[in-house]
Amino acid sequence: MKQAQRKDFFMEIRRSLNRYFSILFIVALGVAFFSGVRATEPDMRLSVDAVADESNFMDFRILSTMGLTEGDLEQIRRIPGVTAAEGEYSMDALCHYGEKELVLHVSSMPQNINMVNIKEGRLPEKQGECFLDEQLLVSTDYGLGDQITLYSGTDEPLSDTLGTETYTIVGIGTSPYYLNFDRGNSSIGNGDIKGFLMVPEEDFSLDVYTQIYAAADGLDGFVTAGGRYQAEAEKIADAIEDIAGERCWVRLAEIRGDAQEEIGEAEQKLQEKEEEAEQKLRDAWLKIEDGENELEVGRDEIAENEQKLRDAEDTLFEKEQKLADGKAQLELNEQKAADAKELLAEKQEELQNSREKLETAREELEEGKSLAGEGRAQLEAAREELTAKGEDLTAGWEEYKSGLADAESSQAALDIQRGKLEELRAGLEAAGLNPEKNEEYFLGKQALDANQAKLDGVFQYLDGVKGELTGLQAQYDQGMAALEKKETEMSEQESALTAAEAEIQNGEVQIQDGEAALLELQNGIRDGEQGLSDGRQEIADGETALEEGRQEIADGKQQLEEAKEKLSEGETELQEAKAEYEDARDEADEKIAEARSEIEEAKEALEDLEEPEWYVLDRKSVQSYVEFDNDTKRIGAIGKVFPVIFFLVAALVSLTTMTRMVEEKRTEIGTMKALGYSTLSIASKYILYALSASLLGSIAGFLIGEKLLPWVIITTYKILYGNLSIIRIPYNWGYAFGATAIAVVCTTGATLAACCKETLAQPSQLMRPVAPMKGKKILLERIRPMWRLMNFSQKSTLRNLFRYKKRLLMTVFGIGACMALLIVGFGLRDSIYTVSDGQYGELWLYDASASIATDGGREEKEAFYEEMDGDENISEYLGAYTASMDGEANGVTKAVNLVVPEDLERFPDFFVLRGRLSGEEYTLDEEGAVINEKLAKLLDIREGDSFYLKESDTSRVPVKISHITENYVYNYIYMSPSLYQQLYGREAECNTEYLKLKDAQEEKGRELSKRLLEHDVVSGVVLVSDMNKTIMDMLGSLDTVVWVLIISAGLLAFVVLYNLNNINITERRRELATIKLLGFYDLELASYVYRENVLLTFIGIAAGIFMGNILHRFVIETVEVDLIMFGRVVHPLSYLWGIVLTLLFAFLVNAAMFYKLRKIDMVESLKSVE
Amino acid sequence: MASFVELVHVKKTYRMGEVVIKAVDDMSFSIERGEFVVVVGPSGAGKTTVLNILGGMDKASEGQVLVDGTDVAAFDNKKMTRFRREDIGFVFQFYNLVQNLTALENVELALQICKDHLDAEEILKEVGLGERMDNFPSQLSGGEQQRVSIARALAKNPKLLLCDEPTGALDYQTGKSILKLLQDTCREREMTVIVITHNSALTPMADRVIKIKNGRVSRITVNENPTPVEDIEW
Repeated sequence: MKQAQRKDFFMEIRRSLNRYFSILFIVALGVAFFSGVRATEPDMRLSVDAVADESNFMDFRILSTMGLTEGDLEQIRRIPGVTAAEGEYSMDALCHYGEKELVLHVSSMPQNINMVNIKEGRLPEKQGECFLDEQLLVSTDYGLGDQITLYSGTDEPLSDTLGTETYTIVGIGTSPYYLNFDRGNSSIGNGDIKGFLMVPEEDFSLDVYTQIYAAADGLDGFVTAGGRYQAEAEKIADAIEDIAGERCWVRLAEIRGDAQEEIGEAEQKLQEKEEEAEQKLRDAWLKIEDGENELEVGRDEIAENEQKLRDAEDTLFEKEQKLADGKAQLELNEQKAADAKELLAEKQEELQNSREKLETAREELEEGKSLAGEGRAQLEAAREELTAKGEDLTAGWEEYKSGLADAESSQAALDIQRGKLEELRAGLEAAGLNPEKNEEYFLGKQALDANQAKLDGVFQYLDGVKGELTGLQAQYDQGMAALEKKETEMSEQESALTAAEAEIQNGEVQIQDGEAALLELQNGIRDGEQGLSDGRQEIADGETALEEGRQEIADGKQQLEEAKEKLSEGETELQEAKAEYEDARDEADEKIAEARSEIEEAKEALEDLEEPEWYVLDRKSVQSYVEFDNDTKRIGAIGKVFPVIFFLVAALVSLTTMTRMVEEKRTEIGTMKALGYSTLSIASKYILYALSASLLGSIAGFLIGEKLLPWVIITTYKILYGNLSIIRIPYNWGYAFGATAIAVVCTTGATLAACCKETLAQPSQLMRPVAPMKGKKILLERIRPMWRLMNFSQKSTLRNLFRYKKRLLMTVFGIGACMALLIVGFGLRDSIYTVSDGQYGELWLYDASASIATDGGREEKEAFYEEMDGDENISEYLGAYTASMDGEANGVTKAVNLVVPEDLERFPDFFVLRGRLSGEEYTLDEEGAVINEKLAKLLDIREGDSFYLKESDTSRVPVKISHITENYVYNYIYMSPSLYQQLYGREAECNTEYLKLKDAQEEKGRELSKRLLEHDVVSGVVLVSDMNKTIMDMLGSLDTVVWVLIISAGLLAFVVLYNLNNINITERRRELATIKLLGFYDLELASYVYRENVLLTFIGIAAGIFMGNILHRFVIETVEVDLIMFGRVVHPLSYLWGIVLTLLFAFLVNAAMFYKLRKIDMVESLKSVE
Repeated sequence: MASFVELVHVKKTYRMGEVVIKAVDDMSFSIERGEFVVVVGPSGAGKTTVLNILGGMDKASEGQVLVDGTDVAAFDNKKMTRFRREDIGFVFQFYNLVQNLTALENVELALQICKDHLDAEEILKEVGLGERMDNFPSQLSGGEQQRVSIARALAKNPKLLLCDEPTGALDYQTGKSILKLLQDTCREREMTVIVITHNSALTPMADRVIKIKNGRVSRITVNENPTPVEDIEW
């Protein structure tokens, strides 16, 4: 490179520091993540290896079914490759800590292998001293100088194994055998080993080693899990197994010899005992037979007496029956007599009434009669009067008639005179004389007139008389009619009186008859009463006789009863004697049989005694190492995927940036070329630019990344693996070079490719403006109706988007990656907190649990339950049997806690069993057990499958799974008591009480815990709030990871967006200048550009949600430890946060870009095409 | 009555580090409404600077630039932008069309921000591109592109049409037709058109010719009878 070029190169960097550093930075970021996370896996292995080497951790562990002898040890030491071997005695024992019962793993002090790491004090030097597990200090406050007294957890006394019971703590520390806090399970106590206790070898009274540890120093340089280690270790293990056969045979012979001798002795003893027992039994039987005879006699007598008594009772019963009949008859008669009397009284009264009535009638009659007499007299008088009047009347009429006749004859006479006069007159007149003047005539006429007047007076008088008579006649007729009526009335009255009289007479006759009947009735009654009184006497006599009979029978019974009692006493005695005899015989038989079968068994066992077997185990059999190895693999898995995203983005960004840079420098390249510089020498500037930026970035990246990331991750893991005392984080050059190489090659290669494209062209071509990218119709335009609906800016935005496809892809990918990382970050938090919220908030509804000693006294237990019932803070409690067990299926074994509730109905109030996805709640039944999701996954079993539940190595029970329940912490198997009974043939004994508290606050909980622990039966109380706290502390460290992710996401988003925006603006400078010139305000111009960015950001977010979900799932499943299941769901709020943060990052970048937009110089840009 | 456009003692200096360059040195001229003006001068004479100042793309260091009675030189950025978007139409040597928009859309782009504008399709028809409205710039010839550019400027209905070497990138024939279009526009629409060119052969077609040399006006000629474009040869 020439001087001028060199200068130009540095000038270039100085002028475009932004671009240079953005490449450098994104490459650094990518490489840091890539190499850092990848280096973590080997670093973790190196660290654990360092711990193992430092403590001379065993490479092999040899176990035998019959223990291991000094001879075995000697032989193992001789195997080539084995540099050290030592035997270890060990056992599990219990100790009291306050009210709690702790399970400890007691082992002999290691000499050269598995050296402990002393944290406090010193190693035990003499018997009675011990070295304590530091882990125990978590749950207890033991300190140096404290004493621990052990006791056995089985039927065998502690002294069988351990010579000393009480130990003084002289040292506290860790053992390389345990990397984490898990100390394994035991078949004693609550099954959960709390820690180890190491004592001098002399304290053990065992005659064979429990196990032998062997170390091979030749393997120290190799990483434990590495292939080279495995290969070498296997060779030595094979060598150990080779001698196993011979050693086992020796051991078997030894055991056989001892056993044979013991069996012989036992048989001898059995013989003697058998004979002795036989004699004793025979004597006893004779005595029992005597007693039986006596009893037989007594029994017969009683039977006889009983018969007699029964006869007497029958007679008595008959008599009683008769008496009862008599009484009934008597009562009937009495009733009849009473009825008769009543009838008599009734009749008498009736008679009296009749008499009285008769008397009244008679009086009334008399009165009627006299009244009738009077009436008659009056009637007679009236008749007479009337008759007189009649006669008068008749006379009157006679007179009248005669008067009338006289008058009529006078008239007739007169009429004749008149006629004569008339004749005179007529003659006169005829004579023409005036009659009037005629005297005769005149005088005749005068007389006639006077007579006529007189006669008219008579007639008048006669008419008056006639009227008077007619009135009188009417009166008379009237009186006559009244009289007739009266007469009729009178006659009726009289005939009524006659009838009444007859009736009275009739009544009198009746009364007389009634009186006679009454008399008769009275006599009858008197007779009946006599009869009744006789009957009563008879009955009274009969009753007296009966009473006497009864008394007699009662006496008889009494006597009989006494006799029977005596007999039954005798019988009981005999029975007892017999039972005793039976027992004695059974016992003797049983003992003999037992002894015999024992001998038989022993013989059989001896017969069957298989050769003992050796198990040669390597480091892979140590649980905590296996778990650590798994965790290492998990980190490795993350390292394979996660950083790739960063790396990919970084590579893409630097690639685009460099390509763009070369394109921008087209004219310059053309000029250089025109000046005669070679292609290579022109390209070298850009290649060097890319190379230096990416190389510097890579170096910075791996220098920081490979130290920082493994350190952060391993430190986080140290929370789980407390004994991981050494952290080794050497530079992993492989990853460093690898990442650097890829980064540099990508960037430089892209630059080179771009350079080639440009430099291959002719200089003239290069100096001419590049043809602008052609406008094209996008696919969307073909959908006419839709396209027409959009406004101008939308159209141009869409067209621009599809025009710069590369940018579109990159932006979407960059934003998507940012969003995905944020989702993973926040989602991780969600998942972690689901553990606490889900487990302790939704699934476990109880607040505390108390362990109950099953062997506690009945009274103490009762007192405890009484207090529970009365305690102010306990609202409810549920008993259950719990145990630590192992679940095994498909060759995998995992620790699991068994819970068998006593009361299935109230169980759902304390534990919620439900499908995590379906939300369906499950109940326990006899069909199968319910296990948690994580366990099912670890063991690879499903609903309906079966797996083995192991109480210890020897007890394996297949259990069917009916449901799989949501659960986040530890592994659980829940089953109904009936299923437990069915599986184990014994009842599930309550050893745990789950409590629900009224006030679950920590302080109140502690107070309660203290109160409960005062009872001897309570061996421990666990508060759920404490468990929650422990888990939260453990998981809190993962928060760091979340922050790392959020910060990286931010960085990523920023770098990617900044770069892409930068490119976008430079690329479209001319277009933007034109728009600016057309009079767009700054904000209008910005929105022209930002519309695309905003749209891209949203597409990116959508893509990010999708990628994030997958990534989150992957991360969760890889980082999970066996005992914990994280939540699988990312909460909506986390999505929201992710979106908000992504938008914020995008906004910040766009805001920064605004100044760049404003600085676009219209004049310059328009001049010509660069 | 004052002239439509008037430059009064306009100066423009650029500072490049230590050196001060006088691009325009005390320039004064005036243009009447509806005139077809050609500003002519050799390279570096300051033509483009004059155009920039007139078009509100650049500020004069000194002096007054009066357009329709308003002093553009005193505008701030925002007012300049408004001036550009409402009063000025630009035609460039390289057309400066947005590649990603069709001919019609390029015109619409300008109209979007302009209140008192003409119909885009109409104006495209007028410049003779009625058939090619939906084509992208890359599908059009240089002359056609320049027509789009002119249509874009005209559609805004500006007070002043500024053309910077409008024929610079075109062949002879096409250049002529473009000039004809500009002249016709000037006549028909009574639009004030200022064409900036180094080609003095174009001067006969102008109503007014302003010659520039070294940042100063060297001569102003008013043609009483401008020659039609067709008759000009160069």
